[in-house]
Amino acid sequence: MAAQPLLRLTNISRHYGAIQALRGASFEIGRGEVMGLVGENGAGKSTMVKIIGGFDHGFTGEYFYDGEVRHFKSPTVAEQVGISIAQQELSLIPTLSVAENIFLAGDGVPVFASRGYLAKKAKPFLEEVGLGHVDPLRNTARLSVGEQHLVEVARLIAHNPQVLILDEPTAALGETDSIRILDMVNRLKEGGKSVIYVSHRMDEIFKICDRITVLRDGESQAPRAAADMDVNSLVELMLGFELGDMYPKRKPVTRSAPALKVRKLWPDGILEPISFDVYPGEILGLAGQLGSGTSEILGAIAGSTRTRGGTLNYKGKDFLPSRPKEAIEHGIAYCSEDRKYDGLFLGRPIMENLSAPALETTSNRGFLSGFIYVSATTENAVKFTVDPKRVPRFTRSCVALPIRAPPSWWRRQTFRKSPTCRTGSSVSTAGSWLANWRWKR
Amino acid sequence: MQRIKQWVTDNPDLSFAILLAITVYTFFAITEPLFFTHRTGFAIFERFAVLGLVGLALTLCIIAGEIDLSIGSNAALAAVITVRFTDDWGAINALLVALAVATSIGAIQGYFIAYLRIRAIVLTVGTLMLLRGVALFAAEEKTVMLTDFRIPDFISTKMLGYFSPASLLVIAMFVLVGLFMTYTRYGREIYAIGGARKEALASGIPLQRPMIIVFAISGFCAGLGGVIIGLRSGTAQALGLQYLLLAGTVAAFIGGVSILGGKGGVIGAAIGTLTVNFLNTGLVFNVTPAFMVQLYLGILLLVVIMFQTGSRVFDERQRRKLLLDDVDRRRSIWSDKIAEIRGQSG
Amino acid sequence: MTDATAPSGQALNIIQRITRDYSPLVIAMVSLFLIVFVAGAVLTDDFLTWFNVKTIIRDAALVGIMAIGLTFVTLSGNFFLLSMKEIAALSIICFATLMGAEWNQWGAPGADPTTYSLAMTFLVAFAATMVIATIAGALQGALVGLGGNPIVVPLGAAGLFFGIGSWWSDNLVVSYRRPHGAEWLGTGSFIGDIPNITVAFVIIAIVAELTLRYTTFGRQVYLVGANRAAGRATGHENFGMAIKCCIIASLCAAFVAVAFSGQVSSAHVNYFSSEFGSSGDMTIMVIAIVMVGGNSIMGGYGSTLRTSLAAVFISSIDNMMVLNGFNSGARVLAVGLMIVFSIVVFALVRRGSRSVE
Repeated sequence: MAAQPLLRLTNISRHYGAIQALRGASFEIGRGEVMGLVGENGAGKSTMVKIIGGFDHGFTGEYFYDGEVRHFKSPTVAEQVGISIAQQELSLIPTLSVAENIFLAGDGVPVFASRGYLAKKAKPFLEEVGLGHVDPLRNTARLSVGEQHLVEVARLIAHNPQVLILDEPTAALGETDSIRILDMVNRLKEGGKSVIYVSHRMDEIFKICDRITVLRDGESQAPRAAADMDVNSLVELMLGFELGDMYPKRKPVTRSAPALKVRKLWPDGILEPISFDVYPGEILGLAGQLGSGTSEILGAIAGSTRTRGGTLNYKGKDFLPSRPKEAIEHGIAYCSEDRKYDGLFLGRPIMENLSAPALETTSNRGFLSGFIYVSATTENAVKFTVDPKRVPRFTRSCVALPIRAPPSWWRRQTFRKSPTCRTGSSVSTAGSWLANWRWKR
Repeated sequence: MQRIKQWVTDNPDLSFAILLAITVYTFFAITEPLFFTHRTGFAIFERFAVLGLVGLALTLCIIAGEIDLSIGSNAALAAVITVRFTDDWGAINALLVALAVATSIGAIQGYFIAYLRIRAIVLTVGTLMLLRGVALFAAEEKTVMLTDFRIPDFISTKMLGYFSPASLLVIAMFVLVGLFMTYTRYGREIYAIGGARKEALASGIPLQRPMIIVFAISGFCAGLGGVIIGLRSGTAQALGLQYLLLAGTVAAFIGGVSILGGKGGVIGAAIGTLTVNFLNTGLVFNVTPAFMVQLYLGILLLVVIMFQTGSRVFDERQRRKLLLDDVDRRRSIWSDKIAEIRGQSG
Repeated sequence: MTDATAPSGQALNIIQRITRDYSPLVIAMVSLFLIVFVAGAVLTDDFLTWFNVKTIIRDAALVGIMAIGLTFVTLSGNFFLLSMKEIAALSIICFATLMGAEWNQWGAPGADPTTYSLAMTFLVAFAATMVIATIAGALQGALVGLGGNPIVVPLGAAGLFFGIGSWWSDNLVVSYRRPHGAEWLGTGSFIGDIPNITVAFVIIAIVAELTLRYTTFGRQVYLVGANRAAGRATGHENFGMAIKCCIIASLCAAFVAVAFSGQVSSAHVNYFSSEFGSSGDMTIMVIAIVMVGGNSIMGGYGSTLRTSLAAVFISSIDNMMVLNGFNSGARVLAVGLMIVFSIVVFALVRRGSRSVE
């Protein structure tokens, strides 16, 4: 390890409105090193990554690259210097071909070029990420999500970066593609490049990282060698306490008659129809790798995913919702995975968000009844420590979870299907949410 | 044959546009004996000149995910400037000034759209009116006229049977812009910001550059169109040329540009414009009143929309079918494994 | 929208809130404009008179009502109904034709028209026009709700409606004799000397705002506009919303058509085209007013109250110019400038608040 780290950030603080994302956090990485960056959601990883990549200038603190103080005006400048970032969200243009996406912006992009020429230039990089079989002139929208992520990485390495930031690169990938990414990271390291690897997957972190930096609540720990840690110690560092007493005790569940019977439900994309029972007062966990069908099952029950058949039986009635509206009418509440996309009405007051699925109940013959509406929403908002008068524009996604969940209370529902509800919410909020939910039932 | 089929499937909107163009042309060629002559061809290309420019400009705007509502007013202003100042400064100088003004107006609009992060439709609603006011000022509320009518005659000289200096110039524009969009990085940026604005910005494309380029081109086209109309007819009205916006938009859509942005091309713009021109000219032969032309244009547009919607729905169905087929295929491959897993969980 | 308390928890007064929430550029621009406007208002003769205020509101009434209808469409996230002008054209032809139709004259033939016969003629014509407008709106709303593009579909429909209107009237002016049953709306006034059309404007504005604020439907409009996917997930589909909002907009356009026809006792398809008012055709004017009101083009933010105020604002600018003797070029320029100015200011404000995220 070189004495002087290639990249060093010290005492970084950043706030968004009233929310403090980073408090005096530090980060460093040396040449030819793979540094893992871990922390639970809300700890400040994305913020730190954005600052390193030059996407954010609203921070205080020092930024040293290659011994000099830097202040990147834009990510393009950072890229010119050699710092590239592959974000979690895809930034490919679906209407353009793969080759055009790889050579879209940045220094190495020729001003005059035909598509054929770009295709030729793109070939070696596609092979590097394991997409040698893909035609560079193919429309990007026709590739699978995993392949698209790999194209994004190919775009990155096409610009020959010195420091590569990979933000959850394998989150959307299956096993084979993930291995390809890890192999590629190793090759980059051998080539003298530095890689910042942000991930939740502990096994990958320990497989390829030399050192690990932990972020917790906006503060950073000094980086430790991966060899000196194991999963438990890492998790403890991330959370700051042991996992054991976080969640409330389980209540006993009588499994006499199922409350919800799922029979031969067959959402699109799933291999086999699925059946299971859920009993009253029970929290049923659905676990599986990406693509195993967990999200699709929940989507089908919620009425937002198309199905090829199946029935749900709830409270004695057989039905199969084809629209979310029908699911809601039958008493099902759904908390989605990407709440910023379809879970929140950003810009509308929290009160409106809370009452959105249950407008009929809070209204009196078409007129919103101020009394019911305010009292019901306030009651639930307080339960989840949310101020109902505020506007969710500045609320981070960790609060989005409870905002979406409660509206069903007064519909006397007993069901909640919530895929990866914890994504984006800190453990403490999830804990209080679960505690609240149990209490209500 | 196979390659043609492949191309048609890859470019459904453009293929449909070509089909429409041929259909409309053939329809009129058959029903109107005079339609299929040199003179009609010339008239079509004359009309093509101005409408083509506007169609090209609007196609570019729509590809970029925006639209320029002020294009008509911009053209009218250019026409007024050209006609008004030809007597004082000479035709060449006047039209150069008009072009410079129009292009700058476009570029400034593009800059503000990018800087303010607003939708172009919002800003150009205002500039449409603003430019009308400026044109009214420049024309001093009158209809301006040329005194020397040699210029309009020159502009309309027949060359090569079908073309005139104006239409040749416009065709050159099409070729230039087409090459620009397909073979340069800046052209691709325009496709990118239209196809997926958020992702394009996240990839590091600066919003200002492509936006200013698109609207500068739009301004230039509007200016050139206004200049051509002004010099060709010898008159200009400050409040005129408003029909260009609608006609150009219809031409762009008929040419297969996608309202979602990111898709479409210069060739489509040309074909769409030609189709509208065929329709216009053909209906003139039929002595159809102007309002009926609007009706037919509306119907044509609806036909294109239905086709585009249909092809999108078809695409959706295809995708679902592919997905389900893939699932079924994997089921049959893995049927043993599935039985084994079932047996295990028992 | 934002909290009225500083991070330290003290309540801020209005000046402090303004300086905190808005950038210096915005404050400077708005202040400059206010100075110019107030100066103009004070220095222009006859501007600040009751008569002039009535004139301003009356001039704003027709476009204002249309703009209020359009606001529903915009708030629900369906952009603009680009066919409002053509729906108005079709409606006015329908109304005038029915007003003058032989079969629609009630009462004894040849005798002087009674209140009853006038009213019946009017009601029949009015009802039919509203029905046609509803159908026109529902059709467009359905197509848009099913996934059709909200800009292109009305564009095509516009040509269609205009063509139908032209064909129906043979592109001629349709007129009907005075006295007729639409006079009360077009030129009459029940309350003192306030024109009925102004009263209609005020009533419609109030009803629209109340609907948006206090009914389930109004809430749904905002929700679906704010986030269509979330709206669907909570049970509010855009299909129904698009239809209802397009119907509202079409009804407003038809109402304006009826009122205008009542003023001039005639109709022609081109009444709402290019030369309506000096500033430009109806559709553009109406869209501009919605934008000047600060309604977000993406939906979910804004209100019909803002739209109504914007209509009055634009009208007052035009009015001030007229009183000062400016010619139409300057007036169009001023109105255009105001529109661009308002758009820029709103964009700056929104830009400023967004950068906090």
